[in-house]
Amino acid sequence: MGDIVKTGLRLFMITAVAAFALGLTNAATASRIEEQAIIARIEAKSQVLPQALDFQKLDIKEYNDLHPMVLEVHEGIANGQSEGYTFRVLSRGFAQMELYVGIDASGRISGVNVVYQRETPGLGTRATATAYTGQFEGKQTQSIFDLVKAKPAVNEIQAISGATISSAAVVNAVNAAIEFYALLIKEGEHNR
Amino acid sequence: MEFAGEVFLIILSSILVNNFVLSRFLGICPFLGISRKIETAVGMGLAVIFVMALSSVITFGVEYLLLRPLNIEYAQTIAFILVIATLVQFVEMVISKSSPTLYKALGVYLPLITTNCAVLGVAILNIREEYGLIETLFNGVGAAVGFALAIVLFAGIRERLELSFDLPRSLRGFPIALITAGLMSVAFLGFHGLIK
Amino acid sequence: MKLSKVFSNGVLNENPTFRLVLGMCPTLAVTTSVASGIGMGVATIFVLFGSNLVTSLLRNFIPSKVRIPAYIVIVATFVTIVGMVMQAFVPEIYQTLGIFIPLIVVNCIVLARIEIFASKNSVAASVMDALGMGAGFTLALLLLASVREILGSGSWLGFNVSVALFEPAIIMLLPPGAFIALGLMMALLNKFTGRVEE
Repeated sequence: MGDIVKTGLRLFMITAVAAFALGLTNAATASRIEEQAIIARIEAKSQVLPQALDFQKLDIKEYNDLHPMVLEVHEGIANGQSEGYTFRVLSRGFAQMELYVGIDASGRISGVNVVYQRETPGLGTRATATAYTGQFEGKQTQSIFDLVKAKPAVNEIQAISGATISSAAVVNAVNAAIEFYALLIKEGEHNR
Repeated sequence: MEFAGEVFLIILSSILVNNFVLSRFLGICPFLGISRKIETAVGMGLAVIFVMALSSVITFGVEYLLLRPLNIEYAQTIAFILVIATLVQFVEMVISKSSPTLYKALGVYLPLITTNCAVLGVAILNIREEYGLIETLFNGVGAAVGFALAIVLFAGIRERLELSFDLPRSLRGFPIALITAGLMSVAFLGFHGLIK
Repeated sequence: MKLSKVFSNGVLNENPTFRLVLGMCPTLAVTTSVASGIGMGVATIFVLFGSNLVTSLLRNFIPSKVRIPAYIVIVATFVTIVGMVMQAFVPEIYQTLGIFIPLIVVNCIVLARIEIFASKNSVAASVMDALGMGAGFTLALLLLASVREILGSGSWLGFNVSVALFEPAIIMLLPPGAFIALGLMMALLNKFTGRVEE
C-alpha cells in the first residue's frame, strides 16, 4: 500500500512541477502572442486597404445568415474620412482558405490578400500568390466576377491553369465581399 | 440531409483524399515498421480504428468541457497525449483479459499506438477544424480507416515484393519501403479531384 | 563512453533518421523548404535537450512502474513550452510548422532516447546524446529539405538557384516526392557505407 502511495505521490509531484512550468511560460508569453496576433490582423487589413490608418469593426451579426462566408467587416478610416472597407472572408479550395478583401471609397477592389491556405504546393498555392490576386486590383464592383480560362473581360478573372479549384475559391471569396459591400451601400447606415 | 452529406464528405476525405498516411504524413512510423505481414497489419489497423474513435471523442470532451472553461488551452498537448496513453493502456488490459490470443498477436504493437502521430494528430485537427461532436467522431474513424487501408495495402505489396524480387542490397528494407509508399502516394494523389 | 563520442554517435553512427529510422512523420512533412526543416530541427533539439536533461536528473526519482506517464509529462511540457515561445517570437515559422510542433511529443526519437539513454546515464552524457541526436536529425532534415526545395521550387532558403537551368518538379513538394527522395537517400547511404539489410 505504501508503495503505491509513494509511486503516486512522486508522479503527482512531477506533474505538479510540469504544470507550474507551463503556467509560468504561459504568463510570460501570452501577452506577446496576443500582440503578434493583433499586429498580424492589422497588417492584413492594411495590405488590402493601404489608404486607411485606422480600422473600425462593424457589427454584422444580423447579416450572418445571408452571408456566412464573411467573418468580419472593418471600415477603414483616415483623417476622419471613410476610405473603404475590409472584409475577412472564409472560402474553400482543397482546404479552408482565409482572405482579406479591400474595397475602397470609390467602390473598386483595393486589394486581395490570402492569409491562410493549405492548397497544393506549387499548383494551388499559385492562386494565392500576388501574381494572381493582383488581377482583382482596381476592378469595379458593380457585379461579381466570373472565372474564365483566358482573355478575361473587365468583370472576369483568369484562372491559373491546373489550379481551377483554388482559383475559384479566391473568386468566390471576393464575390462574397462584393455582395456584402453592395448590401452596406444599399443600407446606407451601419452599426458601430 | 445536408448534414449527412457533409459527414459523408468528411469520411471520404479522410480515407482517400487526405489519407492520413499518404497525404498528411501522420502515422508513418508504425506504417513503415509494422506492415510486413497482412495479418498483423489488419490487427493493428483494427486496434487503431478503435483507439482513434474513442480518443477523438474523449479529447473533444476534454477540450470543450475542461480546457476551454478553465482557460488552459495551452495544456492541450499534455492533456491529449495523457488521455491517449491512458486509453491505450486500458485497451491493452481489456484485450489481454478478454482475448489472450489476440493480445499475443498484437504484442508490442499495442503500446506503440500511443506514439502513433495519427492518433494525436487527428485529435488536434478535430479541434483546429472546429468540428462538432459527430463530425469529430466520423473524422476520427475516417482517419483510422484510411490508416488501416494504407497499412494493409502496403503489407500486401511488401509481402509480394519480398517474395518475388531480387532487390539490390542497398535498397532492401526501409529504402524500398519508402519508395513503395511514394508510389502509393502518387496513386492516392489521383483522389484529389473527388471532392469539389 | 567519451562525451564527444556520445555526440558524434547521434550524428553519424546512430543517426536517428537514416540509421534508427525514427521521427519519420515530421521528416517527410516539414521538408518542403529548408527554413521549415531548420525550424523543426531547432525545436526538436530543444525538446530533446530538456527532456534528456530532466529525465537524467530524475532517473532515480521516477518510479519504474509509472515511468511512461512520467516521461510523457516531461516531454509534453517541453513541447508546449517550445510551442509557446515560437508562437510568441517567430510566429511565421510557428504557422508553417503547424500541427507538427505539438506532434514533437510523439516523435519517437525523443521518447526512445529518454527510455534507452537518459534514464540510465549521467546528466552530462544524456545532454550530449540529446545534442548529438538533435544535430543528426537536423542534418537529415537539412539534406532532405535541400533536395526537395531545390528540385521542387528551384530555390534554397528562399533564394532562387535554378537560374532557368531547369523547370522545378512540383512532385518533389508533394508527398510522393518526400517518400521517394528519402528512400533514395537511404539507399545511397547504405551503398556508400556498406551497411545493408539482410
